[in-house]
Amino acid sequence: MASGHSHDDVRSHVQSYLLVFAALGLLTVVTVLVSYFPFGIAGGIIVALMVATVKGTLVAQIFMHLKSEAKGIYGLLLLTGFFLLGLFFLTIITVMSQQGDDISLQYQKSIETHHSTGGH
Amino acid sequence: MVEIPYRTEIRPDTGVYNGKMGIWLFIASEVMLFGGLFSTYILLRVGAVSWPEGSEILNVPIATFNTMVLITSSVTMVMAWASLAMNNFSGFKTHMGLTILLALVFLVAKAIEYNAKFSHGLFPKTNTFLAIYFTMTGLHAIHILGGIVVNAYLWFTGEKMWKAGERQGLMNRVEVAGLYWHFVDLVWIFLFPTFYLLGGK
Repeated sequence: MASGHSHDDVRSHVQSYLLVFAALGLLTVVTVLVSYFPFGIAGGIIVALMVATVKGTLVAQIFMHLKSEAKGIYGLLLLTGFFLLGLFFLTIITVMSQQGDDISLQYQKSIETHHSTGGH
Repeated sequence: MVEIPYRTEIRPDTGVYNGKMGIWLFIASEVMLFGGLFSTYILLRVGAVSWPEGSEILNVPIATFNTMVLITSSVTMVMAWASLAMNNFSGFKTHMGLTILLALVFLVAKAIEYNAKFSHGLFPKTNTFLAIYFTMTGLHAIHILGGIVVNAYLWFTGEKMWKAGERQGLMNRVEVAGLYWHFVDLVWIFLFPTFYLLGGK
């Protein structure tokens, strides 16, 4: 069975492509404008990521046809998402375990330990 | 001659033709590549004593322009596939041509941006922010270049496949190239606010 698409299907898709294009343009403007708002550092990061996630979701669902994609692809992406979250989790754990420590001081200490054990 | 299986037919267990599964697997590996670098960014930023506000060092107007360029190229890319799906080969040539042109515009703008940094003595070795900035946007630019090469190949050789009656085959190749292209656009959608718009400390 060939992976065919009827003309009518594609024609209706074209309308959604153009709508998403307009939405992405608007959201890009929003992204830039929102960066001037006094949300603070953490607030700014959260808002920027939220807008980027909305834009990314539109690209993935509509342009990449994920909205109507097969289960095999969803399964693969779920697995990828799991490992990506794991990667970020490792980073956050590393950061949290060093919370309050001066990174440059840690580096200094590691150099001193290395020299005192006869390293070069 | 033996036909390569599931080149155009859907494979029952995956639900897609093989090329599509292949490109999604590749995209999964790319997610881990850029994800790893975003993790690097987080670690470097949190561990730094100070971190500049993006707009202090980088050119936000050029980057905003580049964001719109890439988004537009994603639209023209999907329209190239849609044209083939609607039996409109000249529409495919127009839209794919526009996609390639827009990608080149992105790279030229990036080159202008990088050159401006270098001429002000700002290099990857200057500080940690610039090191991770040049690494990630440089890697992204290399991905854009790769996409241009693939899209140009399809633009130049597509007619031969179309006229030989391999219409579904060409459509699938364009769809697969499009998936890669949309992913590259997606990465920039996250890179842009991360480096250019976030506040410092």
